[in-house]
Amino acid sequence: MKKGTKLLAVSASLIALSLVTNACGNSSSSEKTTLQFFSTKTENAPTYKKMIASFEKQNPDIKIQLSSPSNAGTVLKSDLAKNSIPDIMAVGGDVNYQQIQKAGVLVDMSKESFTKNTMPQYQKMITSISKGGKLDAVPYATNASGVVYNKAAFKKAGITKTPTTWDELIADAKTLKAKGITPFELPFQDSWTTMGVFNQLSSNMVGSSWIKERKNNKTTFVSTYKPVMTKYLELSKYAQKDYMGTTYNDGTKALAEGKAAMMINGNFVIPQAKTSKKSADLDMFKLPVNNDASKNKVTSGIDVALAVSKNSKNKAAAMKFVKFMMTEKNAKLYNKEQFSFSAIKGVDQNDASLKGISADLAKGDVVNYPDHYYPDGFDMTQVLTQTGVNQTKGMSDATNITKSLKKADSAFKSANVK
Amino acid sequence: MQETIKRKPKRKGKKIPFAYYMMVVPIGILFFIFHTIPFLRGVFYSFTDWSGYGTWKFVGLKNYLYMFGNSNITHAYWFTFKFALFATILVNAIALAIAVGLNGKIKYQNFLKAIYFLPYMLGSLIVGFVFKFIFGNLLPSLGQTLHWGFMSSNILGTTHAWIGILIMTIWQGLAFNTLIYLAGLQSVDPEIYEAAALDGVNPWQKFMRLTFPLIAPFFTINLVLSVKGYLMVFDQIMAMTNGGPGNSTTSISVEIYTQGFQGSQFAIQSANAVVLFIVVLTISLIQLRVLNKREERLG
Amino acid sequence: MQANADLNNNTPAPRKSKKRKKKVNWTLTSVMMVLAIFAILGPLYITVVIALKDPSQMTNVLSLPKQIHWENFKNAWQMTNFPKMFLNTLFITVVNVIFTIFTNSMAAYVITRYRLKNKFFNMMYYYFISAMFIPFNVIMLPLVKEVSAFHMDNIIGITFLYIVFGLPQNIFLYSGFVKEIPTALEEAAEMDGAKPMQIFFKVIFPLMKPMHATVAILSFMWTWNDFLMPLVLLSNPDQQTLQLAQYVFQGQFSTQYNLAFASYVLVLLPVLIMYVFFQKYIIAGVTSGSVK
Repeated sequence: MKKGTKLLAVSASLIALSLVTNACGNSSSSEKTTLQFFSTKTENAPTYKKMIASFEKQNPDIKIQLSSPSNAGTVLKSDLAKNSIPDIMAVGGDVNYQQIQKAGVLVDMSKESFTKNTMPQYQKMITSISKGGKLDAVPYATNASGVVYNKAAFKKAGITKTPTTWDELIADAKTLKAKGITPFELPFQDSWTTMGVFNQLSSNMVGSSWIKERKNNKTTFVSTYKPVMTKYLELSKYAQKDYMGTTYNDGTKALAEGKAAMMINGNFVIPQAKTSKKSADLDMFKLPVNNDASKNKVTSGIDVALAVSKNSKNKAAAMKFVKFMMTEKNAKLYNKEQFSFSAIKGVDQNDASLKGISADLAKGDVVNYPDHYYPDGFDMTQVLTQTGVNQTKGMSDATNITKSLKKADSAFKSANVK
Repeated sequence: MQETIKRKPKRKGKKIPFAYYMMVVPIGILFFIFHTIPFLRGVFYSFTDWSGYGTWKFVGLKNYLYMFGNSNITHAYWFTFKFALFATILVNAIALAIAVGLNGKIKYQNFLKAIYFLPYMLGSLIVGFVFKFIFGNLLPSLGQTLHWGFMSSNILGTTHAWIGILIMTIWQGLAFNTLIYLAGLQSVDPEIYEAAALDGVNPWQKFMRLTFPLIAPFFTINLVLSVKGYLMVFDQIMAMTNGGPGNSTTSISVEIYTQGFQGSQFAIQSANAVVLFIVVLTISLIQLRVLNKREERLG
Repeated sequence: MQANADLNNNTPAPRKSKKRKKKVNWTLTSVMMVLAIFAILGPLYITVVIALKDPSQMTNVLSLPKQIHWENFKNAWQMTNFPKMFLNTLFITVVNVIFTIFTNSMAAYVITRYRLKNKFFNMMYYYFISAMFIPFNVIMLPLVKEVSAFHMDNIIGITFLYIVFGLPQNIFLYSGFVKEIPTALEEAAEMDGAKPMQIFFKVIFPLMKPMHATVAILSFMWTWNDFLMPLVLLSNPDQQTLQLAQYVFQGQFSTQYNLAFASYVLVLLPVLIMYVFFQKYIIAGVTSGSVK
């Protein structure tokens, strides 16, 4: 009996405590305007947090809650289904943006003052994938795909010049392998990293009009993508052992420590790698997909675009924060910390870690990511991780390629519904 | 005739006071609104092409037909069935063995029982993260130093990824099943064994002929709960593989979650949920019938 | 057959002779002990040890930490907004347990008592019991739509849903128990002119105490460790639970395994502490919840 009353007393005080603290939390935040800021990237959270802190200092009546979940695309979609999307969203110029834009829940950004400071070619990357050609998100940062390499590892293997043709790349890979250094670190346990390789091959080998034909069933993966997949598999032969079991985080660590020489992905690898070893000496070069060096292009797209929800109760405050992020000072901070390229005019990227590709970006000599044009439900990473598993299992390349491309076609078909 | 006579005394009771209705009806209505209506709406959506917003029209059985033709969805069923089967068998076999061990003449019985039940307390998501680390970092580095080929790579990145998830599930699932079997074993009167010992029965015979029939109801409970639970497997997959590599570890629940919120798949995944419901219902009913019958026979 | 006959002869016999002298089987004891230490406590040991180290000590993951890095906990605490998430989770679990016990036991009592006399209550009984066959995953998609329409995608909304969704199982649990309570007590109270509510709360409710404990424990475990429902229903970062926060922050930990594991320990610790103190009740509660 006594135990029972005691238990009851304990639980009663617990509930009182949690009620009080919850109430307190609510009442204190009700004086403030609270904004939800959703980001589809996890690695730039520290930079956002810095911006939020300085913004909150300037605007003590506004509180910003950052959320950057893993699997952000699905979380955002379920928010969309709930009709409760966050006030501010930082999304890539990809299918995530397309989906929310298509639902018509975003504020038109084209008239905002800060939009005028952004480069027109990046605005176009947004409008080209928007329903009605609208600019419902303002481009903020762009990324560049290429090969991130560890300079020290290259030096150790006696490689003095970065490769500019496919044959040179493979030759360098052989040299590195002979020296006991992993040529390519492929962290395919995190399936999205497969696209880092595939997109660059695809954008340099298959014309940009292909996707339109595919959508109209005029062509197939099987008939076009064999050369792409051949190169894809060739690269994975120079990958670390167990590349299907390595996570992105562990992979970038191996790159930073020089256990591996190269990672084929984007500029965003650099800040991630530097979290495990600050002094890592990294640089980038464009993936030399073809043997004609003049044909190789950097794949670049919108890495972060900022959007505001139409249904937000605090649209003005949300816009204020977007405007704050778009200031030159903050754009520079983002560039510096995230090793990315700004979509804002006059904010250049001069970091030594990106020397190998920044010229191409400044010239605008770039191609967009092919997967930004894929239909909603088409998940190429599922095909590519299966390809990887097939290879580690010892399936012959020819069978593997045919199987994978057939799978890609059937997955595309089921996603390509109007 | 006889029935009316039988029932009469019960009916003679006064009208049931209104207050009693008030103790059930409000919460019953809430349950209807938040559980039954969503269920019925789900069934309804499964016959439409609704994308979660905007206009819709009836499409008949199109979503169901599509499901059977979609290799991702059929694979999710195949994976889930395979997983549930292996998890149920292994968890129950191992749990029974542990329970028999715990029920033996051992010291620190209560302490050991508490240890074996501990995993039940822990959320599968976090246990999944811990096992992801064990499989991804700890075992490979251990395997490489010991030169054990099979252990030197991350099992979650191979076609055997599902075994990694299975191992974690067994680790956690044992707790509950062991507890139930132990409760069953402890309800058996030791004198039965003493009598059997006099008849010169060996331990295996003793277990099969004596113990097992007596704990059969506990076996039923475990089996029904295990199968139902493992058909819903979700948390550990989200923690460990996210459904990969490829779609090799995408369970039905993971498929519904990851695809369902995509506009083009909302109605299709609603159909998937309805099929999942029919599967769970059928399996549970068959199990209950078969196992109850067997229990009757054994009893 | 022989055995069965013995069984029939023996069961009615008094159980006094049960307390025979136990000869301890040491081989079995050590096997069970070793298995418990390596298989069950092993992964937990790894979790705690990693949480206490810094990256430089990670070359030998299994070794004990040379220096204990408590700051991992401090960092994880701040990074995952632990206090807020903890209070959210505590609110859900505590409110859910209390309301579940009152409302569900009440409904279960009335349904069980009157279902033989009254068609309506009998129907309600079968309605709830059959709902047990509808797992949450089945109603997830339409529920998400409905919840957003009612603006219930927050802590209070989800708590409410937990209370309602627990009904089928709890009615099942309570009903087995109520059947065993003799009706004489209520009849006596009724004679004294007690109202239905009084009868229930003064007479029946206290008698249901063992089942309340079971229901409380099962509800607590369910809500504390649930991941799927918060994942699909809660969107605001301020309105998340501990489990959901672990998932959300997973990407931000990146290779800082020590921090990630410190965060896991923080989430596991409250239940572990509770388990140490209430282990007996928990085990008894879960057992009686499944084995009626």
